[in-house]
Amino acid sequence: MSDPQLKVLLVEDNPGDARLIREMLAETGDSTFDLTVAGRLSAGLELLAASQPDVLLLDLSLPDSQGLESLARARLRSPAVPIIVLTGLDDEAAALKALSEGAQDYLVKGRVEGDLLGRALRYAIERQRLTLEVEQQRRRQMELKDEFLSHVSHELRSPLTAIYQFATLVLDGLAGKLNPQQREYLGIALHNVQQLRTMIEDILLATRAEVGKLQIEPRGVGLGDLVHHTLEALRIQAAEKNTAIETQISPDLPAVYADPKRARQVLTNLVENAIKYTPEGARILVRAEAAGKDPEFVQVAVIDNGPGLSPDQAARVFDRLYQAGGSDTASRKGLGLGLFISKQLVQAHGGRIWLETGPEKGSSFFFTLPVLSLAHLLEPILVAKRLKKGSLALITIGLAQDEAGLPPPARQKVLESVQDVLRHCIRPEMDLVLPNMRPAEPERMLFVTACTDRGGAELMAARISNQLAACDDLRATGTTPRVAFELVELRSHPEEAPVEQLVGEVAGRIQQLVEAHLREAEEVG
Amino acid sequence: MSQKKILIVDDDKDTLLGLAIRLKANGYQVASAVDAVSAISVARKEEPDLILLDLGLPGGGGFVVMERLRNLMSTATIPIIVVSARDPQSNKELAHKAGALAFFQKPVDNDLLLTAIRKVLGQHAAVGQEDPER
Repeated sequence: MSDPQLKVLLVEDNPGDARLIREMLAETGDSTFDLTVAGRLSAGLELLAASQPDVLLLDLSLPDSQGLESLARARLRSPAVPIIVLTGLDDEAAALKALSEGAQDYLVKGRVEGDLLGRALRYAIERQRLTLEVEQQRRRQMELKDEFLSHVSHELRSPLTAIYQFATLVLDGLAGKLNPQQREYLGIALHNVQQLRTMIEDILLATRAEVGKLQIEPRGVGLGDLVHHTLEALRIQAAEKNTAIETQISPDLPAVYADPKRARQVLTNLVENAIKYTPEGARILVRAEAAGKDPEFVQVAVIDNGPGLSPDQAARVFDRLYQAGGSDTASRKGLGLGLFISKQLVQAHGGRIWLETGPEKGSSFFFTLPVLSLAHLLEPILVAKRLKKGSLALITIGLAQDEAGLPPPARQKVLESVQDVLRHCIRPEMDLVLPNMRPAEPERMLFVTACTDRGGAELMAARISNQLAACDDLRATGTTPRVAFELVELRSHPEEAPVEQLVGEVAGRIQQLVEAHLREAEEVG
Repeated sequence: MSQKKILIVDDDKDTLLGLAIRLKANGYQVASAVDAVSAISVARKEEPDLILLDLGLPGGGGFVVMERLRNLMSTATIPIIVVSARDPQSNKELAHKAGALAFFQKPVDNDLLLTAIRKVLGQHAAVGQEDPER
């Protein structure tokens, strides 16, 4: 019979022990083992990657690595190769620990004999194969579940659309005049359409998160506005339970780099929970502030004075399908996915979410979002354009005096028109309308970065200037925009220079220019 | 000002009817099609000012329809807004690349859709840059 040869890699620094193992394998009379020996972990790791052995025998005490550290490094290098650790007589504890960290088996030196060794090697290989197979099946099943739920949510949306459309047609009086009661009842129906819609979306999101396919579309967002808009939509819900929502938003809060739809979803989940799980007349505080320890994050807190959660409940709130039950919390409405999804969404932003609570202490949920930096915004452009040399133009659009005297709504309208024009003038893949870098202050200037040279920048500035001059909203309010540009030369970088370095440098220089312009505008204004 | 004409393409007849009533009530003329083939023939015959296009259609998906329309002289420049039950995460960008000005996931809020339609039909050309979902 001709079994395929099994490649065994032994990492063992003691030549005597290595020879012993070689002899034992020979003794089995089984010529199917092909043994390679490395004396150090570094050499072993190289062989591991290069020769892909069927099984690795790993001594836990090596000159260049000790104990479980060796195991971790070997697993990192070749996760699919089964590992048997070798330990001395006095160290079975470490060996047992190794099993829980992913080793398939352990052998105690001095207690090994040929047959046992051969069998251990074969079992380890077989067990590893089964483990990988199970893992593969699990992943396949998750993907099938994802496909299935995608399909289901798609199919559910069609009838939901028709229900929404016809309910709103009737509600808007397109099928005749309604009496107040009819109006109220239809309003309730529509409210439930909205809930069903959220549930369908949540199911899909939760599955996405499980298979690691959750995507976000981050951009520069002013957190203050986001909080206000989100709470605006929740006022009615809060009022129904006579719950007061207060806000505390730091005036100097920087913009965050977040997906506004998702950030709003997280905040909505937290506030809705706070409304739902507190008694009538409760108070909720939403606070947004710098995240104490970490200057690169902003922190949002949702604090209620409700009953709080027991340590046991608190430990599980972010789990999928967990709902704080109990007979006194009347509604088990919803899927129990809200906090699970919130956690996934916050993590997708690189932030953290956590809870501070205790019985009778209320609940305080916190989450963090990364502060917007120009580097975040410029990186995809610089990477996509492989812009290691050449230049980047910074186009500045100043809004003149008259506009500053406008009432806020008119001001907002002017700004939106200018933004519209800018978006229309840029090439989406290469150019960027910068978000308001000081969201706490009214916007005095808008900035565009464009991947172009002097000639291109001149053309683009002229185009923006012409289109703004033709814009009715600006003319109507007597706003005279001023358009100027300057070039940021990209110093020639060696090909191998890390892109983060380039991005950091360019972002830093643009930030300086923008700050300088804003200060100047302040002094003039 | 003459009435603008909108072609609705959707294989769900209830959705089609609901949308048609809504658009007529807002002063638009409406044409309709329920599959890929008729979408193209109706678009050629009626030359609408705007097409609201579903993606999952019998006889070839919405993407096929968009490609055909782009390659026909009489329909190449008709603006298209996609209104689909499909997941925006995997379809929104594809729709933009295929030339759609906006992507809305069903059920779409009436006001959002009407605002986008008004923008496309005249005043602003920049609707494609905006994300209607936000």
